[in-house]
Amino acid sequence: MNALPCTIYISFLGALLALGAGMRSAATARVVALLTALTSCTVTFYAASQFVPGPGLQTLIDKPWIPQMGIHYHLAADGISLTLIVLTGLAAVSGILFSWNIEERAGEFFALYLALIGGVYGVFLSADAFTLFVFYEIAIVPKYFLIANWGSTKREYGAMKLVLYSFAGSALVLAGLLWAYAAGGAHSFGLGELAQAAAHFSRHEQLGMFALVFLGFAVLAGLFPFHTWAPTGHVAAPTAASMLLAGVVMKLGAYGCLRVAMATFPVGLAFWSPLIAWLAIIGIVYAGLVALVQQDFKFVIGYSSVSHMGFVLLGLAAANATAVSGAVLQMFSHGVIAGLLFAVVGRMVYERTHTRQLADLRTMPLHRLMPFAAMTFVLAGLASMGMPGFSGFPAELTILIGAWKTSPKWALFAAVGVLIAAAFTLRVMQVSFFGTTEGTKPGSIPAHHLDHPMAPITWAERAGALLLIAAMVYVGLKPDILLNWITPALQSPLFQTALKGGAS
Amino acid sequence: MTPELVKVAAAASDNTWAAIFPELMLACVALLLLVAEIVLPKKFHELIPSIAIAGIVGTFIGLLINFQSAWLGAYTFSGLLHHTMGGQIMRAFFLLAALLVCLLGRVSLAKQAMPRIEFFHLVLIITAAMMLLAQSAHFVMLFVALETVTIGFYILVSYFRTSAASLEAGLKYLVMGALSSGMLLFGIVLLYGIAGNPALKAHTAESMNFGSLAIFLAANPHQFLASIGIVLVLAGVAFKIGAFPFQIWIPDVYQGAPTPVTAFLAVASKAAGFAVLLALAGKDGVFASYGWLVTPVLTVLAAATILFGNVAALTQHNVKRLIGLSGVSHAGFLLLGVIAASSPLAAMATGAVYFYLFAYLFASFAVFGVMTHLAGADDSDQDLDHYTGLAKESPFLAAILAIGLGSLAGIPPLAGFMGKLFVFIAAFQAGARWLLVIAVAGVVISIYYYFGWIKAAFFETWTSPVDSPNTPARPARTPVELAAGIALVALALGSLALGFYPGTFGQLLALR
Repeated sequence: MNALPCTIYISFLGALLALGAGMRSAATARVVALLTALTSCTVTFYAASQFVPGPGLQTLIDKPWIPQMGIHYHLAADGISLTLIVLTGLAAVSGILFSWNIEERAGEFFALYLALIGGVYGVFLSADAFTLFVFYEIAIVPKYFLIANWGSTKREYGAMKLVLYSFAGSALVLAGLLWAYAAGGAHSFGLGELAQAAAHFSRHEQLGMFALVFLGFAVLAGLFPFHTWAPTGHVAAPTAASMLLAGVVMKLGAYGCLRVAMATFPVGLAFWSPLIAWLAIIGIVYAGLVALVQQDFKFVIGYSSVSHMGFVLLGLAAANATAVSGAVLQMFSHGVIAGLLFAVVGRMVYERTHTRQLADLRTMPLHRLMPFAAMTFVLAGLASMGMPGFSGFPAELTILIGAWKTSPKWALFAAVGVLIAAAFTLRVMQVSFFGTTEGTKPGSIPAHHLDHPMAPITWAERAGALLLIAAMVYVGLKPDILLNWITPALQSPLFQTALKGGAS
Repeated sequence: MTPELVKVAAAASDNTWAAIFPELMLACVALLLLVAEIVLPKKFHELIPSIAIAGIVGTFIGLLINFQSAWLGAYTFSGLLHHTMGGQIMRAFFLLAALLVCLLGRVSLAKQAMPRIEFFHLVLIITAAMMLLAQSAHFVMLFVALETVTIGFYILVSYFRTSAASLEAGLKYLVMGALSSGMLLFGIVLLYGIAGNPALKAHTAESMNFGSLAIFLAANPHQFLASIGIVLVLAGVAFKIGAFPFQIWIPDVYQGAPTPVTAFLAVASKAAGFAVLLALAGKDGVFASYGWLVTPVLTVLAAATILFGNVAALTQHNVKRLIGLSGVSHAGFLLLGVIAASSPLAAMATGAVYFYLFAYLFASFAVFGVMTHLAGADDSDQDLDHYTGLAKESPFLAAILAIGLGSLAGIPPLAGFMGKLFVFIAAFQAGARWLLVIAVAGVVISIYYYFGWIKAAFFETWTSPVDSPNTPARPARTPVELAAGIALVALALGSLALGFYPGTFGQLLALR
């Protein structure tokens, strides 16, 4: 357990090393980056194997940082953070494998990538609101440069939009935190201390603080109507960055909502949760419907991410132990699935066909041309639809059961979203991989593809995809491995107060 | 009387020159430079700037050794000067700024066929005047010191006298400076007159003296003429810090002035304005009893300044104008700190302003240092396009630029972020919530242009304009010399260190 903070330091150190290695050759930078990610991933798995689930955060390091302000560098972990750290480790490794073809300024690419990963680890491990905020901002900055420099469609627009949304969100968070800090007597930013102080705040203060902090984090989690950065950002980003954005960075927002906003301001949660739930449901249905009519393959996946993150937010808003544990499970599950989907679209398909238009893809029998990509996409698609046996099923089921307990109406409307998800996933699967090949003889390949035979799927892509598929299936078959971490963590007094609606 | 009081009284009764030893040192070095130019043979003239730098370093070290000066808390020169911890901090601040300006001046002047020595002479004189300004406890002292600074800057701004832009900037600064001095003086005279009116309570013959004036103002809390005087004095100071609507001179003057002078204006001159503001509007300041007037005036100024600076900077392409307007927004954030400092609720506000100033110094000089090295023969023409491909050609300068701009933008964990955080917390404690909303929005807006600049330096490649052969080529990058290189590294490390671990500087916050 105590080795977990090393994941942060290893990532930042690896970023520097990759930057240096990039001056020699792109290949060296790749290897350095992969080794870094593998090392921190190993550390997380080792820590996970040692982990004894229990209520409350287990402190890893706690040092005064700015004593005059009562700010501590306080890292801690519980089952929820551990789940997300394991996800980060997996996503980091697979993202690097799917960026194996980056040749242009590879050193800088992987340096920014690893810095982003380091920031993400930091957020998931922070037990001090200030520390968390600092890591959160550190994670925002590299995204801009990753997208603006290595991205594709309208990258500068997408990058700037994403960063301005993120910073606006973090500005709201900062405002809310400062309010709570000042109202609590300016003693501490520690999450536990803030929650204790918050128990004495007036109802109005709690409502205001919760609204600021939750909304700020929810912008990054893709809450409707603040989700518009997500599809454009995902589409503009290079493959590895889209994988991280959808896979991990959106979870930063949801994690912040859970860890900071909900745990600290239970009265605010009780008041705002119906509104959040309805916004989440609108997001699920709306983004699903938009995904259904997209013509760009990557936009379909981008909107599907928003739709699936809606389930996470719904689970959080339902605010009972079942729904919240489902939400955390869904964070993990969606992180893996979205990573896979973006990898197939951005790396496997786009790098070879150079088109993402569904109309063009329809004319190519991709299931013959790249069976591995088709197989991966079908598996990920099935998981995304919530088929039993994959991680999406237990996650969304748990959320729906939990939401039913709070309000059956929510569960019913959200279930419509599951149907829509099945519809757009099946549509895009059929059109892109099993498209009609009218006008050509059955079994033959259109002439213009014979001129440029497609490059075979590389070992790096196979390894990355298999890693994520393994995680997806394993958690799908045995969700209790994660639930056994998550459920005890929700037994901590902080979460218990929040989940009872601030009654105690 | 207690021993302390005896000491204070004794110090105040006689003219104690030792109390202003650092300022005297600087003035002597400044004169020495002029003498050296006459006496030394031509081939040694290269060394003269080093004398200036050595003089500043010597004074700085001497100041640090005597930081807990025996004069702390005392009034000297018949109450003209008041030696405080804040004054000591500002002295160190101005010396640091002067040192950096001299280092940048060497780089910048090497590109021009200009006399060298006067530049360093003026920098030293201005620095000495600013140090006195930060410690003045009397309006005569304040005005004389302020005018010395301003007149020195008239010459420095138009120093590149063969450049039309520099001359125009000098003229604009002269006209605007005269206007602001006039307003300041009119305000002072009004206060002097009304405080000397025998018909009023607590009237005083010493009404230029901050202490007596404060007593008078406290006894007459809603005096109409005094209110006008206060507003005029604040307006005069607002010119110096470039607060809206007194910021109109900033873009043109910043663009036309030689880059080191722009840096000096942007950092030291602005800081001098804030030192004066803290002395006047702080919670123990002269205008403390007019909080009902000062706080709303400053609040409106701060809100407009933050918004104007950030929005106007969005569309700028000339980096000198860009940093000038971003500097306007920083003045707004600092005003937020001053407003907090005028409230008894925010204990650490004064310290937060000092911290912010140091963070701003480290970040700004890093950026200005890079700008100096990128400027061509025409110093006023520095475009964002000139930064394309910088990371490839000079990774060192690009890294320094990124740290400087990141700190200005307030990216954690750099110093600028901590500075903003402290100021915001202080403002929160003082109850300036709506102003904070504007400030936070301003921070988000500022991301746009700071990131655009960083992106130009790192991720865009220079393509020479093929279709328009008349477009002048991009100026060549100046190689980084050892001294300037060390200074830039120190500035970057300073920004990092203050951000990662405020440590000793964090104790500034404990300052009351």
